[in-house]
Order: sequence, then structure tokens, then C-alpha cells
Amino acid sequence: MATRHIRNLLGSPVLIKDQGVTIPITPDYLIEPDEYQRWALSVDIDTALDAGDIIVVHNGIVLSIFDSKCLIHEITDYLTTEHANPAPSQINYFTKILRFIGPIFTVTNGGSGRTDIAAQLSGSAEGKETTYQFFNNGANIKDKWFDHEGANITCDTTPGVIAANSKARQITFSNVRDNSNLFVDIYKNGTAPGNLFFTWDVLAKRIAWKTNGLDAITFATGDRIRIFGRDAGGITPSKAVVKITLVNTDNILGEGGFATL
Amino acid sequence: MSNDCLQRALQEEFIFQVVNASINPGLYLSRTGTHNDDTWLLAGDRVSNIVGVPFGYDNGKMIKVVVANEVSTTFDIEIYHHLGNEASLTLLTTVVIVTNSVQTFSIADFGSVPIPQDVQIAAKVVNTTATKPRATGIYITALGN
Repeated sequence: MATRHIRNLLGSPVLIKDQGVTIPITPDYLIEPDEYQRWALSVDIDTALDAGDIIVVHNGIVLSIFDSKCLIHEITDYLTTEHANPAPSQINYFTKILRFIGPIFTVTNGGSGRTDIAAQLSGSAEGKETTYQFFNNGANIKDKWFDHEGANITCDTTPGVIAANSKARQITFSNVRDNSNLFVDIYKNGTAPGNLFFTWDVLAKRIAWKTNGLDAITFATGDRIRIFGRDAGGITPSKAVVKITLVNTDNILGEGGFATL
Repeated sequence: MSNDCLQRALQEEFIFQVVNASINPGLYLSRTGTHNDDTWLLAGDRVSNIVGVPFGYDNGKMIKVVVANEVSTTFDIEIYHHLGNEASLTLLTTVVIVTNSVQTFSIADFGSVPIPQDVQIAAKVVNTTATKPRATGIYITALGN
């Protein structure tokens, strides 16, 4: 059975007033299943989460603040009538939460939205992650296309292929040279200037990562992804690797292809 | 007024007071789960420090407290009154459960505990020991007019 605990990060007892409990320094506070619905209405837990005083631990896994709130609130919120007929984007969102939480909740076909969610839950593609790797083994990387998956063929001619509707979750950069500068350009479906749709400024770094501000990086099934290392002045990188992790945003399965780029 | 009349009048007044006082059905608070220190019991489905059990009697007085939980252990329960959301939160009394799963307390234990009219009654688990109380319930009997 799934377990849900609250962990004290503050180092002193944390009062959750509207639940009438104080989270001790140790051990983790167990929320029992028959208290889930009341906790879902808590406002004070959000305050404590936002302050970094506590975090939710689900089945032994420490969640992010966002996921902590989803676990504590969103499902109950969704199951109320105000979300009886959610938009498709909301369906994807809530489906993800439902899959994350697992068998604690049962989805009933009480409305069209719930029917869609139940249908999505029967599949398995949504929520899966795929990491695309791009390499450039050059000594001075500036204004160069990267290779896709070490194919030794630059991605302007052999791009990465997106197999499912997805969005970016994280990007990382690594190279052998300290304090190097590069504009990491992400192209979609072409190499023309109009196909550039996102640039990540990696400045004075040897390694770098990015998990925020990625909402604009979305792909549809069949899209092609390319990485271009654009000169940012100063020290140029050498022997660089760019990895971008995408997460599927729906549950559509199938196959396809194009005769040309 | 003759002595007989006076005695009858006093008896009627006594019966009236007893009947009035006896209509108080008692105050019940409880909570499932394992309780750490400073866990407020629930009044219905709300935590009692936010919304307690309403008490509207005049000349209220606590006469008996019964505490029960799943395990035999030692802990205290503090009984408060307030005006909602811990406003004017005031400790009425503390009962000490010693290695017991159920324990009864009377005026002999906690003395005279008057309860003001139009307040909310709340209860909190404190001073728990290694074996934490579970699924605790408290039944308070109070008299009033």
C-alpha cells in the first residue's frame, strides 16, 4: 500500500495549524489514508512547503514542492464538480498525476473528462522520458552542428526524430574546457533561421544544466530536432555533449515516417 | 410559606435543575492515526483547534472525562475552550493517562472546571511516550443550565 509522509526540513517542529498537527523533527509524519481528504483541503501545508520547512515523501521517494502539492491537493480538487469537464490539456495533466499516484484513487466515468482520463490511464506511453544526445568532438566548437547520438554524421543531415508528442524536461551541457561559452541553439524541422526556436546561453561554464524555462520546447510526433553550437565569443568549448530529455505529453501510439527531411 | 411548601418548592427546583443539566449529551472528540505531541483531536471532521465542539450551556462545569485509544500507553490530553480558530484559546484542564488504553477522570481528579457559555471545546494530545497513542477518543461530560 502506498505511504505518504511529511518530512521536516526545518530542524524544529513545524505546525500545520489547519490540520491540528505538528510535524516533528523526526521521524517523518505519516498521513493515514483516511485523512487524505482533509489534508487535501489544507492551506497551511502549502505555506510550509513554499517556505521549504517540509516536503512530502511518497512511497519513500522525496517529492519536489510541486509534486508534493499535486499529491496532497490536485486529485481531490479534480474530482470535485468544478473540474467535471476539463480541457484536453487538463486531462493530460491530471492523467499524469493519476498515474504518478497510482492505485490510491479510482477513476470513475462520471463525466466526459473522467472517461478520457480513464482511457488514457489504460495506456502506457504518456509520461515516459526520452533523452536525445548530441555530440561534437571538435577542438573549437563554434558555429557547428552537433552529431546526433554519436553517429559521426552532423544532425543537419541526420537529425533526431521525435516519436511522440512531448516537451522538454531538462537540458545538460558538458565539455572539456573550463569557462567556455556557447549558444546552444535548438532547431525544429529544418536548418533555416526560421527553424531555430530555442537558445540556451551557456556562458563561462564547463558543465551546465537547465530545468526551468523550458515550457516553449515542445515537439509533435515526427518532428526533427537538431542542435547547433553557435559562437558566443571568448573561450570556445571542446569535445562537447548536449543532452535534452523530453517527456511524452500524451498517450498516442503508432508508427510513421517521411520520405525526405 | 410552610416548611412543607418550601421543601416541595426546593425539591421541584432541584428536579428542574437536574433535568436541565442532564440534557447535555456530552462532548466527543477523536482522531484516527498515530498521534505525536501537539496533535489536535477532531470535532466531527474538523480539527478542534479550528472548530471545536460547541458548548452553549450556562454555568457549565466539567464532571467527567473518559479517554480511550488503541494501545496501552502514557500520554496527556489538554482540554481547551476557544472562540474559533484558536481565538482566546484557554486551557481548561489536563488529564494524564498512565499506561492505559482507557481511563476515566472525575472532579476528584481535575477539580472544579467551569466552562464558559458559548465557546468551542478542543483537545490536544501532548507528552506522548515511545508508544504513541492511536485513534484516540475523549468523551467529556459537562453539566449546565
